[in-house]
Amino acid sequence: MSGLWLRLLRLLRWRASEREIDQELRLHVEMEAEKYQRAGVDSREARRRALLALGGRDRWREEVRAARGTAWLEDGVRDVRLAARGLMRFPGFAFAAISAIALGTGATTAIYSVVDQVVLSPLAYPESGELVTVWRRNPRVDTEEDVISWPNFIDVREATTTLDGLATVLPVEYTLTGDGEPEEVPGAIVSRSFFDVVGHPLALGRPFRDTEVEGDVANVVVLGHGLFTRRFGADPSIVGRTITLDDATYEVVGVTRQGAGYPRDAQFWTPQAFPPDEPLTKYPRRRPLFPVIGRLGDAATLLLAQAEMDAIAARLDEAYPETNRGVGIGLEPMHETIGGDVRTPLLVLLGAVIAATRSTLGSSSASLGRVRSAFVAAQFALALALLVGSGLFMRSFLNLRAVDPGFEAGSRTSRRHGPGISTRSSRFGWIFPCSLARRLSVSSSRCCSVSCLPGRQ
Amino acid sequence: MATDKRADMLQGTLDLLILHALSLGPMHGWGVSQRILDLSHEVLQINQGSLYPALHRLEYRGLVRAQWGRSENNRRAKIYSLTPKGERRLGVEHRDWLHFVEAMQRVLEAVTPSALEPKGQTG
Repeated sequence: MSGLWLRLLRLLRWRASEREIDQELRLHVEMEAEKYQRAGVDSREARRRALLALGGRDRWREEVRAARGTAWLEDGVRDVRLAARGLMRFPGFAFAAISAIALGTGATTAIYSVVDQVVLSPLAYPESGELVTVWRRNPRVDTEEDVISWPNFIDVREATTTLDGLATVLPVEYTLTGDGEPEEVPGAIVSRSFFDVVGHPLALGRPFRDTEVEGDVANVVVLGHGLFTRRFGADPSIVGRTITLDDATYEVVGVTRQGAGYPRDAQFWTPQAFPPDEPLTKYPRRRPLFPVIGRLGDAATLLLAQAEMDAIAARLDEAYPETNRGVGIGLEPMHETIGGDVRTPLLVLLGAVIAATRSTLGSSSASLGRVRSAFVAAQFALALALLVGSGLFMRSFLNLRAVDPGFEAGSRTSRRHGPGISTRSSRFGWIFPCSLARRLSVSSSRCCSVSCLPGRQ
Repeated sequence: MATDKRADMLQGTLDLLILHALSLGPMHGWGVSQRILDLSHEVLQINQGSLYPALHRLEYRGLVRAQWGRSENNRRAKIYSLTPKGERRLGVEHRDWLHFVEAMQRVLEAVTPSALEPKGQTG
């Protein structure tokens, strides 16, 4: 029979196989004892000698298992059973530990899904890494604002060579009426170039036409995919129909692709009107009003574009000292702007939740675990006294440490101080095995050497 | 103590000894160790802690086969026997062993390095 089949077969009949090993062992001892008896040794002494010749029974069994090539699986099964039995024996402990793990995992998952949405998931725009937001450094109050005056926006747009496009994005919230309940819907009023800058993320329809943004601005709107699905049942025929926003009628000209939204919660976009004949009275240079986004040109890097912005700002400073004295223009990658406000708090929160989970686990199971250590230490002492194979001993120890982070055997402290000194953490871990082992006529020095560095003797 | 009598064995020779012992006829574990002890005139006492792991290893490798049967005193016993693969393996290992012994012999019988000289000069 091939090795693999033999192994599988043995795994299936694991118990029987264990029993057979014991039977084989028993027969061996009997026959060995009989041999001594034939040589004139009395039966008890013969049996003692036979057992002695065989060595540690558990170690012997372990080696046979190892030789059969199924040891790792059998050990795994046994270790799991050991852990499960341990937990069942202390149901309160098990409940507390499992609850802590469950709560911690839940909280971590919840926070992570927010972090993923806000910080980690890339913007749903083509080559979104090229998108930047434009900031204005305000020298008067020494802050940065994400708004720029209309005349300054026009000047920057005219002057730049590193940015492929610039667009204003003014967030608004309009009341949508018509079919269904009226609702407040976030959106944005954007300049003509907005859809060019973000890379035409349209699923249906078209962006704004030049004629719709010049002079008397047309009441046209591009719907966000979310609103399109939720409110209009994803019906493509909505394009060309009209909707009512803030009591005004808008013609739907397009729908964006799923996930494409800037500002992130915007559900519609309407064009920014710019009456060319009265820019300075309606939108004075001194009044920064418009958030601005741009796209880096093919050859440009953020550093290069920023250098150009500095030069443009200096020129504007010179040309319009009254309004632009000391005003700087800064660029920031858009994904940083979007996550920016909440990025750090969110990551801190995530870290805190993970840390809290860990420490809850640590502290709750540490205190519980310390109580348990006493019981477990007694088990180890027994195992030691019976001189089980070192493999079994080490595995039980590591296994316990793995399922029960609070378990302390005090091996670190004991290695420094020896078994005579018991520190808070090592107390249970050491007094028990040593005293028990001593009682079972195993010298304390042996107990320690075996405990510190379990090895085959 | 019984194991004191055991001659130190080269690694790998245990398998060869077991295979040969089984080539003389199927036998249970204790019988194998006894057979080797008898055949070696009480020199080679198999460490019983290694006998069974070795038997199970050989079984796993398909060189021996195990079946439950009856011992000579009618006890339930696991009887090992050689498989055809085991027989072939025994042949190979036996030949390797003879080569080894021969080489050892040559080294230990040499009294002067002169045996090498003709070869060294011509080559």
